[in-house]
Amino acid sequence: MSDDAKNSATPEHAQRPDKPYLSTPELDALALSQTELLSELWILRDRVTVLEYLLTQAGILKAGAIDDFELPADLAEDLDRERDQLVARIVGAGHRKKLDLDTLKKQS
Amino acid sequence: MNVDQRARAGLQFLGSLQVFSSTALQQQAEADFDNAVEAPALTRDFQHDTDRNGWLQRIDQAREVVERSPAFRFNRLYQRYVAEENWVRAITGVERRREVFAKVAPTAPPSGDPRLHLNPDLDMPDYYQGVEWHLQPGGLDGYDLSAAMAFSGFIPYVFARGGFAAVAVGDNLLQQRRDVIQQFRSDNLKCIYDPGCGGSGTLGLCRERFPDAKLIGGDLSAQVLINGLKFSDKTGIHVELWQEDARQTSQAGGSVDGVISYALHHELPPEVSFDVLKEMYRILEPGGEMVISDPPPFRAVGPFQAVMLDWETENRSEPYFTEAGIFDLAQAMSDIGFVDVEEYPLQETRYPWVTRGRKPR
Repeated sequence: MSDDAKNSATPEHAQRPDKPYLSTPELDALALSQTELLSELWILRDRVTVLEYLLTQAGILKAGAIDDFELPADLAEDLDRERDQLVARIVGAGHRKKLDLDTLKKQS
Repeated sequence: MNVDQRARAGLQFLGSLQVFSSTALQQQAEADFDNAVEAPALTRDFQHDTDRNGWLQRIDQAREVVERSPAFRFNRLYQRYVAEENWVRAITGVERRREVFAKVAPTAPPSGDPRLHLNPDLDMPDYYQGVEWHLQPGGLDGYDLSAAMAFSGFIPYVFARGGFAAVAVGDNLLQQRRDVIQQFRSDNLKCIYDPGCGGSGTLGLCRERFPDAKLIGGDLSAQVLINGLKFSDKTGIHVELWQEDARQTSQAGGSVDGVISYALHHELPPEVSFDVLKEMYRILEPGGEMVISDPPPFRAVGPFQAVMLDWETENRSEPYFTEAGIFDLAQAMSDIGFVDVEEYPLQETRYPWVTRGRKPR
């Protein structure tokens, strides 16, 4: 961004209004975070779709190869472990009561 | 010249969110309002004009009812989110390819070029100074790659899908401007002035209908005029551009036979709007015409739409939107001396809203 743009003052009208759009500012913040996550998910899905398309066009990947792929045992195990950790980390984030060393070691 | 995948997909997401918000959520919100016990009385009130305080009071009453709808509250949250993120994603997308975009960025021609008259000494009016219109960080002149930000950024992926302010989802913005230009009664205007020409888009479409007319644009922003000249050179529309206040232009009295004003008056306080009309009257030759297109006034819409239009003032950095919705452009034109003054919508949605009149012969 140009120096002028960086240095320009923020006029009053560009501020987000104090009054929340939903019932509380906390709910606004949660809804906006969730919307931002949805956006990130879409950007990633778009990218994977483009990637698959380009790999197929280049002859590196056959059409349908990913859908028809049968997971070998070692990769299936890796994915199971990664998925379990993801769920525990994200679903569990709001339920954690305390931090202890043993749990952290198991998560690593 | 394209932005990268992240920016493109991110902007396209905003376009989809805006479409959903302005169709499913908005329809639910409108149905919620229609079911409210206060709706019939509010709707009756909106069917006749009142004074400024009367309109503000009516809108407050309508807002209180409309905001009860959870669908409306989410609709507005998403509107604000898209309005902010437009800039975030377009600017960061352009910045990631700054070197490429900078090579083709419009630059000012040498001083003295008759196509562009910049005025570095122009006093920026108080109503304009420091406003970040539509939440644009730094305002209209703040970002040097604003043309890329708009044309490779939010215009194709978000703006073009509609669903914001008075623009409905699926509206063809280009065709709407063409339709507005069709509202000139004369088929052979010789010289047309646009008092808030921005990037020359409206003048470009005037060229389609009036291939031989001289086209002159004025604007306060040097950056948009520089962008407008580049657009003119690229498309061959041949415009002459002036950095000037539309209340006091460089054009001689009686020197033009057409004035086109597209989406300008809602950016002006009413007293400035009135003075701009007076100046346009001055530069028009006898018999010359003025055509204005802007969002509809409150007296032309129902309570639900009025609440949505009023929302723009506080939430999209449109400081004069509400006052413009109260201001009676047609009455002002008549008071100044225009004749054959008419106002009407071009679509069922009441937008574009056209006001037109003629200077007496």
